[in-house]
Amino acid sequence: MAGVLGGIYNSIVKRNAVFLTTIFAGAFATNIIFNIGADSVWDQINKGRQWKDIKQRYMGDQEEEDE
Amino acid sequence: MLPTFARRSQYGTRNEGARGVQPWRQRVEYETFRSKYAPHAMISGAFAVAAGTGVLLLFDAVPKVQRDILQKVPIIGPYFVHEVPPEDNPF
Repeated sequence: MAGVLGGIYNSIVKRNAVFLTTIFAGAFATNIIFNIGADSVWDQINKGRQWKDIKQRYMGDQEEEDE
Repeated sequence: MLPTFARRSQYGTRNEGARGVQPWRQRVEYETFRSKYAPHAMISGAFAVAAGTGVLLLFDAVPKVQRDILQKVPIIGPYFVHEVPPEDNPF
């Protein structure tokens, strides 16, 4: 545990510039991963009820009077 | 200043304190590179990288930033491509 923390300190925390870059890049990555995860959970819960699932039923009508 | 990577000894610092010397009080055992253009060119460059990453983090929802910068990043580029099928496009 002490060795792992010491390694983290020496590689990431000791230089403030590296620390800031790690924090910002980590926040960016966390944002993307959380968004992808939350989208997949939402799609899973609402399977078959969203427009992208039922769009196929309405694709045959190519002539649309009122757009 | 010439670039150096000389080793500096830890003579006299090992046995201070209750559990030895804390990391922030140990003498760093190498001298870092010093550029002859500015005393802190390497550190300024590293902070510029950090600042750029921070700006991208704060402005990642701006479409111009997405189109010009974020879509060109290798792995996460396709995440910022928002393509609407023409049949769903209201415009």
